[in-house]
Amino acid sequence: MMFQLIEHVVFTLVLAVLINVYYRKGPRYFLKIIVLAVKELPGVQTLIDQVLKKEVTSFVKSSTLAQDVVASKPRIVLPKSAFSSDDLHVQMGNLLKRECNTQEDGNVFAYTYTMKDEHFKLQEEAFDMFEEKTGHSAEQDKIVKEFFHAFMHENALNPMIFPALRLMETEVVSMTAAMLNGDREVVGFLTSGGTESNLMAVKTFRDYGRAQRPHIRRPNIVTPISVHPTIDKAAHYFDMDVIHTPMDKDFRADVKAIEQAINSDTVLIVASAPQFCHSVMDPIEEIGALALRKGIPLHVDACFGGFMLPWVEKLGYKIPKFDFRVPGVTSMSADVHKYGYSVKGASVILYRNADIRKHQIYAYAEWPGGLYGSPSMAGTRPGGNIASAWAAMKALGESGYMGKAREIMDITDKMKARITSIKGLCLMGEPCMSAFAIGSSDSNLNIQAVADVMETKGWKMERCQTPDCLHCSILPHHTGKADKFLDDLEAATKHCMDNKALAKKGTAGVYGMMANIPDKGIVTDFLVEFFSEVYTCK
Amino acid sequence: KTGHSAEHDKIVKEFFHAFMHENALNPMIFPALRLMETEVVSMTAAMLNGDREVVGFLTSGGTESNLMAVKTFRDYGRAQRPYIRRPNIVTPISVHPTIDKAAHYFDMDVIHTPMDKDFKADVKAIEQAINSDTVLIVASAPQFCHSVMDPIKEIGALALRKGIPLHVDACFGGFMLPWVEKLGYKIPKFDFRVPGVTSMSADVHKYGYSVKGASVILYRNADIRKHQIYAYAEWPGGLYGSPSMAGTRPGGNIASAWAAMKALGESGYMAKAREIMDITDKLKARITSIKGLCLMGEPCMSAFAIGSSDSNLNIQAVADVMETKGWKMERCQTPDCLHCSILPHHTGKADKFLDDLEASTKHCMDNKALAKKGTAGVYGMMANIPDKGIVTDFLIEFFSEVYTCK
Repeated sequence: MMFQLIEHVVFTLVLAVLINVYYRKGPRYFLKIIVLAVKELPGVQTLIDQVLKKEVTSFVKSSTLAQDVVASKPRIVLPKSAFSSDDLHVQMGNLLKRECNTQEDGNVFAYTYTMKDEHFKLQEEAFDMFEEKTGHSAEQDKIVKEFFHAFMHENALNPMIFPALRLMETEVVSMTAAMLNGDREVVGFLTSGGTESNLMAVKTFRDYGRAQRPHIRRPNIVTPISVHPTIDKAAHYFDMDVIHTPMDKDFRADVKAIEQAINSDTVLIVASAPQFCHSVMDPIEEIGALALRKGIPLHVDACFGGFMLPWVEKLGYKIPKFDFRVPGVTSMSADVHKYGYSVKGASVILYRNADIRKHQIYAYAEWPGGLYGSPSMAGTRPGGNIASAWAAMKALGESGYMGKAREIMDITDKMKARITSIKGLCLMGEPCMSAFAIGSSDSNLNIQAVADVMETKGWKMERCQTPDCLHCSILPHHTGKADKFLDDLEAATKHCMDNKALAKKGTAGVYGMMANIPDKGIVTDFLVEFFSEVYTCK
Repeated sequence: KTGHSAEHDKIVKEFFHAFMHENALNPMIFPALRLMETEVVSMTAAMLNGDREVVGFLTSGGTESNLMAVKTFRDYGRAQRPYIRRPNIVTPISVHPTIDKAAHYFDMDVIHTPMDKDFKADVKAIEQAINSDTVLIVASAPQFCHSVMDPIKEIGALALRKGIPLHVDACFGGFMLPWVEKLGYKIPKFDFRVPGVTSMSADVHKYGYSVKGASVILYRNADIRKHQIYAYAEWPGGLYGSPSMAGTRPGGNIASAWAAMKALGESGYMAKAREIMDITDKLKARITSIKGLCLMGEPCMSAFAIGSSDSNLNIQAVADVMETKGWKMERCQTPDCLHCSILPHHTGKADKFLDDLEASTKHCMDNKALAKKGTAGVYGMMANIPDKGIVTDFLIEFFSEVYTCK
């Protein structure tokens, strides 16, 4: 009896609500509510997803992108050896044929506003003058630049108008995924740089976390203090908290501390391969195991190391597993425009599978201007960056990357050996790959003062704090400069040992003072003021 | 030099040396790039009638400019009114989706208000939608769909009255409207001349004719702009600061944006605008004379949307036929129409376009079944789907599929 009464009451309530909705909001909204309710029934959403997938695949197959979908194409990986310039020129021609030729045909009503005329040529010249070289070699610069120029005119906003850009993007992603030992499920996107890659990872896992656990109030990220500030920036942007855990005495992430910091609102753990400050690897395998145990995604920031570590490993150096071989890793970021030797403006974000990656994609269906979708932060994306990233990887291949890695590791090894022999200096932790941080092993020696002296000799030093040390990334342009650097370093060190007052002067003095400021908020305000001042036309 | 005093210069220079990693735009390493960026911003601000207080940054594109504006005013709003629980933006449905994307990213709500019958923002509706959590109003100059100007003056007055910032999205029109105005066309005030306007975005890589990857975000003054800057002091790797979403910013784009503006100057932009407006006027005149077609609202500047004035004519079907003739049409919905931005590469193509358009229109009038086929059919079906969530899911599935290496 009681049960029947409740049943009647519930039914009447639902009916009353529906009638109310119909009269107040109209028949369209009423239908929308009905559809939403039906979607909540078990199995319906899965059915809808299946239908959508079918519709989409058939739509793509019948579009201009159809010729890229080949039934059993081998997986696109880095070529074993480099493609020759001639080869690449032929491929460039084929790719360009696919594209909408806005200049010749004039048949497009958006996307490109430039013509390939004198005005454009002038801009290309300005661009070339101020765009950084890839840093690999003159030949690499040349082919990468050619590709950049060929596609500079294009806009990746609409993959249907410029299908070659889409092809190149997916191939770059595929090559990177394979290089980082991901299987064919691993997918990703190209971005404008490491910042965007990391931002997108954080955004993706915020949304993924909320979808998995709708009860989360304020999502947080657990990550060591050594992680790159782009993670903190991401949390600031996307309204999340960051719980920073300490490094251990060797500057690696303290795994126990990460475990203790995780709580019910944690949606992501971030670890670095390697962390930039000291070029030390976080223990990815252990953190991955922890992440799996706790059911929390793990993003590995390999922006810095992604395009160098695989070769350093193949060269025989002892590198702990850091990539998709670690089961707990759900995503990775890797900058093509660092050790990938492409033009600035190319990085890759990879996800374990397409379902996770969908949380990065933004789609909006209610704009009068049409259906809008965007895979990453940017809307319009310059074609040149995509093309040059593709060319950079094809023009080097595994052999090219290995060769460069060998060169750079030789310089690195030599420098590390000599630095550790200089009285007063030491390396911070056990740096892996082609970078390290120099610290002071003598309480009488202030390393920031050493940097001041080095700067008078023309070197630009990268300064780190807590603890004070100097970061050195070994780059292609260091070939042949190692000896001079080491001699100057030895001299500068001796000079500072003999003149302890230098620790209180110059930038060393500034760092000393800043270390004493208890409230880092003041320093943050200063930074904001600095940028505000510097970026004003005076 | 900062221009203050020698001591000030010295201490600032010491701080310069004290940091900046990972940012190819270390202003001390690349002073030329910094100079060029600030000059591009200054030229754009002056072009949009901002005074010397108006400052801004270069970004990678309109999306980043609009994202940064939203982020800035979220933080500015919270600083002004700490009690705000969930900040929201009030803006017409015609605003560019980058605003919705920004709200999604930065955890805010968007309250969309309707367009009036002429496709302009309904100001009364904006006023009614504003509540105590509103941190920003966004209006478009012009909105992209139909190239119709929102009533910026009225919205600016409303914004001032309510004490709410107003961002004018001029990504599309920022580098064309000033010249169209100077050419003598009737353009209502849309820029910093309107007192309520607190920020504007304008893409150099659209009608600024620069290489892709350059847009400008401008703020009324430096105090507001500070809320865009991200600074982090606790990284062992050093002090970290970043003026916009990107970290490393390619120097090439800054240089080419600067070169583009200097190489054209006012005279160059005016001449280009004259050319493009000539084509636009010609197109508009002929289109309105074609039986069954009409323009949506009163488009200003160098773009317009073509709609159907005859219930027997489905404009999406016309687009389908145009596409068989080689044209790529930009389709809009609710209501169905076709957006046309007139671009430099259309010189000499106008006549062919009009002939094809006239033929396609006639063909569709005579074959009404076309409205149910092709992409026209898809749009028709989608208009009937009550839950746009399904369409959103479709879009995501589409991008997921398209950006996979097969």
